[in-house]
Amino acid sequence: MDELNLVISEFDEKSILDWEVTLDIKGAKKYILVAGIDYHTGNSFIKYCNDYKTKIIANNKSKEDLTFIIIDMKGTIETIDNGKSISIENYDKISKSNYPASKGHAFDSLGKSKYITKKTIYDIIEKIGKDDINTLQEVNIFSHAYSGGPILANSSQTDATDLDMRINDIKNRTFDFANFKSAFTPTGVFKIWGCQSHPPFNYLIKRVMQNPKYKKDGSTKDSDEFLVNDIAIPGNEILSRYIDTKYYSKLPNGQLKFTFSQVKKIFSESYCANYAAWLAYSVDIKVQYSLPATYASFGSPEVFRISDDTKMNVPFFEKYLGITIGELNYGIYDKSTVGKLLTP
Amino acid sequence: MVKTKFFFITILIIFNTLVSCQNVKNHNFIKDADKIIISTVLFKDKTTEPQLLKKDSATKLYYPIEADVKEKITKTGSANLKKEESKKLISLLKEPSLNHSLPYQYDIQIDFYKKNKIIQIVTISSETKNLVIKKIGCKSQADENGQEIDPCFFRGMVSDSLKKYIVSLLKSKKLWNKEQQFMEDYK
Repeated sequence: MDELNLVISEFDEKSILDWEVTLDIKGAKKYILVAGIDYHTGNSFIKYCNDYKTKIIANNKSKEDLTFIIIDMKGTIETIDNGKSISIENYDKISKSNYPASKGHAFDSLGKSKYITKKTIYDIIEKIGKDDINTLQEVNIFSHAYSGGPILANSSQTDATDLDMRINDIKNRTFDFANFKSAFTPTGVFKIWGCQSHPPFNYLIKRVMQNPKYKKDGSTKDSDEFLVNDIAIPGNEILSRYIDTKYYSKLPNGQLKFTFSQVKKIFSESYCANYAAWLAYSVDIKVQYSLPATYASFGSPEVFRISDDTKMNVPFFEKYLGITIGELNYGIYDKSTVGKLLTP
Repeated sequence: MVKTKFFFITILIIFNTLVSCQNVKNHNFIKDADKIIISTVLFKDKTTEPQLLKKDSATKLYYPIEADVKEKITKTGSANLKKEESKKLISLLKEPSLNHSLPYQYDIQIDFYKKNKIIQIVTISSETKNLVIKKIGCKSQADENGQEIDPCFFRGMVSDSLKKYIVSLLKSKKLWNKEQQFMEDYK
């Protein structure tokens, strides 16, 4: 289908870049794989999309029809149906020149406007939800991330073209929640492979879990008290600067005293204060994302996974907050768990 | 049986040698810097700064008040390395660990100078142990996927011996206080 290999310069704004559910892919199980930009190098995480696609194909023992929609934020959307590339849409290209160090590696549109944006991705999901319901098995976002959302290209929400996914997209209902949800199969998952680590929170949870009062089996009492030094982790300010004063008492010797109940509250609030929680709760879909105080690493094998240095924080969330743990120590965000933790 | 064992040990030794040589070859280390400065750094961006939260009255979910935190990198202290310190540091930098963590943040920077110009920068994160070595002035090349490959850019992690040496340097030069450690070493 060479005619579908669109080149941006050949088309006016209306007729281009309009991914559709075509007859070729109707009914096929779909995977959307998004490669965000590693904004300090200008490269994308496309390798991880390709590796993930290979893994899905290898695990397709029942030989189901599979469609991959591979969105490389560098500027292409390729649709691959049962191993065959059936369309490639080209957008304005992103390169290192979009990330001047003088601007703190923030995205610079360089006067262009036809980039792939979050809206492009939300639109594709909505189209599947309208025209081919319950066929989207997974959305995978391979990118940097923070609690505010996946950093697809490190744009700013004040930019004329904001590329990055944000909580505000959900809070302001910038896409249709019903269509979005309809796209997914009953077991469908939205996977965000980036991080959610703030070093002071990582320090706090480690200090609590290393204390003999902390019980791995879930039997630590809410009233148990934990003393933590109010120190500055290198590169950060002192711990107490990052925590609401209602969640600790400061002792005369400068130490911070937490009850276990307060520790649980700090981390359940963090769990409910990120893009994944908003998406899961508002749209009612299952989201997989890193838990607070964990970050991703990659090595051998070359996949994103929660780092060895932070995966020991994960059992706290499972044992004490009742959060389900997904693949490779990522957390599961779903409407019922978020709803339960929001209840005072 | 002994011969077979010897054969496998020999193969293992050759493999190990090849792998470690590859590491050294990949790094393009500057050997002739005339000055090396180690600095502590405050790195802030949206991924490092916990957001101030507000409760949404409709959903009861929390959302960040401060929308965009711009990347800001500030040196908070610096010290020159002595000749023997530089020599030891360079030798340890030649033996990094592989793997890498996703967060970009770092809090230690080592600048290599020649004739008062920076010719190589090393950044290290005490949280993730990430190590990035970048020689200045190398030309990027595009690979077959359109990715820009910098031949003078290395991404890995600090080895245990490098970590210990960095900590001792920072403490001896009063850039870190007694309590400060790499994140994994807080007990």
